[in-house]
Amino acid sequence: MKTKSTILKAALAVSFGATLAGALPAQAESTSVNGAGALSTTAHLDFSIVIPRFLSFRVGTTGATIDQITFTVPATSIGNSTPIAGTGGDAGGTAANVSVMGNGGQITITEANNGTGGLKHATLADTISYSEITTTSSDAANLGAPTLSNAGGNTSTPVLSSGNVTNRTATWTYAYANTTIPSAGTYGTSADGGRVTYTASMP
Amino acid sequence: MKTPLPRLACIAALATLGAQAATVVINNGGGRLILQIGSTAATINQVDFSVPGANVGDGTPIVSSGVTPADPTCPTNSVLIDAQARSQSSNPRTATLSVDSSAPLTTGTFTIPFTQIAWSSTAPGGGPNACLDAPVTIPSGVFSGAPGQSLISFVTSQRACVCAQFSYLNQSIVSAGTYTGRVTYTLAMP
Repeated sequence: MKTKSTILKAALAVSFGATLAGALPAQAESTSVNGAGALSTTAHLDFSIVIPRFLSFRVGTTGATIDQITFTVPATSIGNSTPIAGTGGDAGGTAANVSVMGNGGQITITEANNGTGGLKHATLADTISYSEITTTSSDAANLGAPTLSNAGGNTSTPVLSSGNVTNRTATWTYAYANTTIPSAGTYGTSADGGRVTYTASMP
Repeated sequence: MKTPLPRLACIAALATLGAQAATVVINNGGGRLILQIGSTAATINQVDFSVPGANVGDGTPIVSSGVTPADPTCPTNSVLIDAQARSQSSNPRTATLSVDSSAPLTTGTFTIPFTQIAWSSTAPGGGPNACLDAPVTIPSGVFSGAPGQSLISFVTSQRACVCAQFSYLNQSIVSAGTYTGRVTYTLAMP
């Protein structure tokens, strides 16, 4: 006696990997590809970096310290037009370290002072003009110093480093030109028109 | 006289089979690649950085401030990178995950090269993609700023999966603005 059995044949082509646990749905940056031969698939990732504007400016010692440049003219040299070096700069002698950094476009440095006609004598009405104070930059091409003046308002424009970025350093060295014969005494200091203020501005 | 029933090899369990004997033939299929970058939301993920004004260009690395959309598989501010490659066991192949970061981030005419972006890889913490036990990791690194930077190569059938947290290296003073850019990951199996 024959026993017939029903045999169900099914030819099933299965792609390996189709039964992955948690198979990924089709999403924009989730891609899949299958087939014979070489395969390749891509996905992307975006980035965003916010760079804010900033401006940093330094003349002399960092922090809240205000340096005082002092010239002492020998009696035998008064008015002989030999420039007089001095002391008090944070870079030695009368040299001040200067740095200016910013990323928002062309920076302008403007000089001003708290005098009304130059550096005033401590007790007399005499003054020494700010034109007697010269400033020499170690990098005049890229970070020149504005010429000091009684009225203030002279400017210098540091050369941009790249794009809208300025990143310049130099030393500004001060000298007393000594072209006049003033009355004996002490002129300037912060109390008598001797304070210079440099302002860096960026658009 | 009894005739023994033929022996049947049931290779795949088919739900539609009732009390039937069946023969299932599974033919060899081709290879398969699956690549996922970020969450499963239907959008290209974005990594955001915000540099404090006091730190612009001072060399302090800035960790990303956010990733959108967020991926529950990975910790906050990190991106899932999941590469899977499969082939027949009798034909093992080598898959390579690479990235093209040759186009810099831009704002107007100003640029930041992708060489200023690094990532730190950590193991994913589970989640719906079950990536926790992926046998292959993707090392931490820095974008090369070039096309075809190889990240990892592995033999099939395996899965390379990490959570990547990105940092902006902040090594140069750059012009102010919001810089945007895109990298392209490629998973290939010759």
